[in-house]
Amino acid sequence: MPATYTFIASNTLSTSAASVTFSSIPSTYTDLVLRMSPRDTQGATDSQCFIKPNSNSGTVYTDTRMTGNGSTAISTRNASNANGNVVGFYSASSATANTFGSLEVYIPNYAEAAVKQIVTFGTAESNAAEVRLSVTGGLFNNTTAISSLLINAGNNFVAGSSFFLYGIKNT
Amino acid sequence: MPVTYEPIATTTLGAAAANITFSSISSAYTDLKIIVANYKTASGTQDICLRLNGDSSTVYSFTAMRGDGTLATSNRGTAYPRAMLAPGSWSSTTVPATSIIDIFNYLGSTNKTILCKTAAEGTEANQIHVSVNLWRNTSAINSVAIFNSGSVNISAGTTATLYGIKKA
Repeated sequence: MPATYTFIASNTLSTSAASVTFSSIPSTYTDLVLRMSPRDTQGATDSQCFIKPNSNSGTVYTDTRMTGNGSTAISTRNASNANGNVVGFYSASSATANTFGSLEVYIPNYAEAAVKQIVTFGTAESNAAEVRLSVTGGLFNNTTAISSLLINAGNNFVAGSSFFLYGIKNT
Repeated sequence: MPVTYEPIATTTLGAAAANITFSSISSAYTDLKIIVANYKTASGTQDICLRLNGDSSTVYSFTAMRGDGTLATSNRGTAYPRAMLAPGSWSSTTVPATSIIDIFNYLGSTNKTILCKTAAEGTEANQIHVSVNLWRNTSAINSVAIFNSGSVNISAGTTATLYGIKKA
């Protein structure tokens, strides 16, 4: 039986950065998984980051999200926009020191000539008063195969933020 | 480094079918993962469901949470004859709903839990759904069937892939 959960690339930041890009993603997999552990310089307990396949800046992104903060759950929706698909909440500068968010992005059938679903799940838990957990269903409304991923920080990802990209084959 | 994540089987329906079943599942893994891209049926109101080892007795229960962009709600069901993954009516005929299903410790001698995240963004309803199901049965799992409630066929084009995950 072949191995299928294959490491493609990673980036652990040595200095803060406004974005992280994975480029030249091979088309030899069925699905992509991006696992992230970021923290942001934004002056808040948490921040949000966004993902843009192929760095596409068109109004081709929509998403529907559920968010819980320990006392209430809400659902919000972003209609067609050019900001990218929201990935989720992660720790920012007012969060407990040395805490980073945990986020996973799943992109099925990324190399097909069809619109792409992007499923994300993540949290900014930091043992603080304001923490959030979110699940998001996003749509990249473009039929071009995905060959790169641009992840934009809410403000800046801090040094030590890490990003790991994997490919999954179904055969 | 040992291989820990392997494809077991994949199916793409060329024509509508009553179910997608993975049988004779190897006992070589620790956990199972299933990725489903489900297209809407002609009648469009069925739940997408799962059954383990062909067990249709009322030993399944679930708690689910859904968001539609305006409200987040939660519901629960007990003594069901199937695991409930997500409302199939969310998908469309052109954009499938994506379900990511995790079955932990499928060989264990305890009751089994099934976690499922379903995104139906860009479809007719634009919703996100998360569910946890319990199968009150201590048997090892050797088959998984995916089907629609109401005995309605799964649509052509629907795909499902089963993966096995090893702890080492």
